[in-house]
Amino acid sequence: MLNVQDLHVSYGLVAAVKGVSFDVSKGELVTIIGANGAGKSTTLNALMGLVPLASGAIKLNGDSLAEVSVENRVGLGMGYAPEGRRVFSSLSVLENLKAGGITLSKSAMETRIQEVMERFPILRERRHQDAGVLSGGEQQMLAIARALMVNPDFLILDEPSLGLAPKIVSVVFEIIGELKQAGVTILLVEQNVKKSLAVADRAYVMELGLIVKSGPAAELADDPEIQDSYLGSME
Amino acid sequence: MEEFIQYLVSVLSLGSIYALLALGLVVVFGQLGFLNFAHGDLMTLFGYALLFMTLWGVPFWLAAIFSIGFAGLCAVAMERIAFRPLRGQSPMTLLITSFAISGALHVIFQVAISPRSKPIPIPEILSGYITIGDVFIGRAQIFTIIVAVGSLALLNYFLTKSRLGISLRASAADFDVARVMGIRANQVIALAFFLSGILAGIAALLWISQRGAVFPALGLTPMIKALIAAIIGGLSNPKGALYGGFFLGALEATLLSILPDDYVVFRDAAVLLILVCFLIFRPNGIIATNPEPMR
Repeated sequence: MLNVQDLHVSYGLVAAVKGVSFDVSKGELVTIIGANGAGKSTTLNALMGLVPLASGAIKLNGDSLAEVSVENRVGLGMGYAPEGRRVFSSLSVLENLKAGGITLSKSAMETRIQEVMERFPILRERRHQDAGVLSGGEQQMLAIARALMVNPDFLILDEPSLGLAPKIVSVVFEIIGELKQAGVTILLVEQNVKKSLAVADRAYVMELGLIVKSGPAAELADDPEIQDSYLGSME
Repeated sequence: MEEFIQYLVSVLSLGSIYALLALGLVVVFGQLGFLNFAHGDLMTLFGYALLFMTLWGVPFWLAAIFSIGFAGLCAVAMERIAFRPLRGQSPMTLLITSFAISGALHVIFQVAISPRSKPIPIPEILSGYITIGDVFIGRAQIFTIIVAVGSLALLNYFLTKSRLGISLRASAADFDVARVMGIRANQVIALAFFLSGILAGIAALLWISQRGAVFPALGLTPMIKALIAAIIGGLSNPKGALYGGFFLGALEATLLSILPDDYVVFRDAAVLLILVCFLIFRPNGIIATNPEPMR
């Protein structure tokens, strides 16, 4: 489904991603793990077209994304829940969902809002509240729900557990597991290594802009190096 | 009681013009993170369009509607010609560009039209007063309140109910994420400028209907007032522009009614002093969410 080849991204003279290659097959949940500053979020921003590529190629279903504008990527079936949630805080929950489904027809939007609210009942309760006043967990659910409005084939989740209470983190990972069961292809970037490896099919480990390890998530979870570097201190 | 009603009318008529103008500034600020100093010149462009159309015999009200549309199109042209080539530059670059546009337009008005004030015939219905009991209220003031409140209600409906309005607000809240959702950057930025032009045109109609003339620097004073209102209210949210506009209207009307005649000249100084207080103690304005300038 997604194929990334030799991706380089720089901010000025600083190289943030230095030749990353990976792929995600249809129906898979692939996670990219790594410490803060490893280049994970920059990689996702490059996938969404939010930062220019220094070099490399990104293909979705065999087609290059090089000439596809940020706005048109949603039309290719890409959904994105960014790091830090970034809900539209001055818009109500309902308006956030409408913004997420802005490319849909009116009737499709209404139907999808009902479907998404069924999956996230708390959003129905809070639908007229400004997104800015929701709790962190509710905002994360809204960010995921907003990305799901277009019923994406390929969902990109950037640090969905960041800054959330442990109980809420478990809820968020349950939702991710449910989405996987529903057949959504997911690329998950996380610092919560244990939980993301538990839910993923395959994983890539990024350090300083490079992929240093990859393999089935279960194998990486048992890898002593991964356990030393990430699982010892992270829950 | 009579004095209070007159005071209230002054607050509403002044405040609503300031709110319309401040809203025009805020919708553009929300998209591009800069204050368009040429916003006041859109009012002047409206004024000259109205002047020439009435001179050519177009009925006043028809000319007013066309001129409002003209101001909207001028704002879109301004974005297309001057600001779009600078997309991605810092807000400071865009701000300086807006100063340049404003300066260039002033010179064009002075050279191509006239440096002097040109009278615009205002319809009879807008002149004179009506009396309610012992209270005299200017017709132009009533017209201002009705048009401004109607425009604000329409704008609110547009921003909250329409797809384009939600796109505009989402994009103002987080431009990049809005683009990821499929909201088109060029479309919403052009829409923001068009709306700001329309709002400047409506404000200019109300401003001119109380003064009956157009001159090259017509937009300067209201632009400065709008700037003060927008900063006081908060640049991050259209509600802030509303609050700031009416706050400034109330402040000016109050100062006018409480200051002794000899001290009325200090009214603007007092307003600026309060602005300075806001900048020191509440720099994000009455609606204090953090603006996210970008691009």
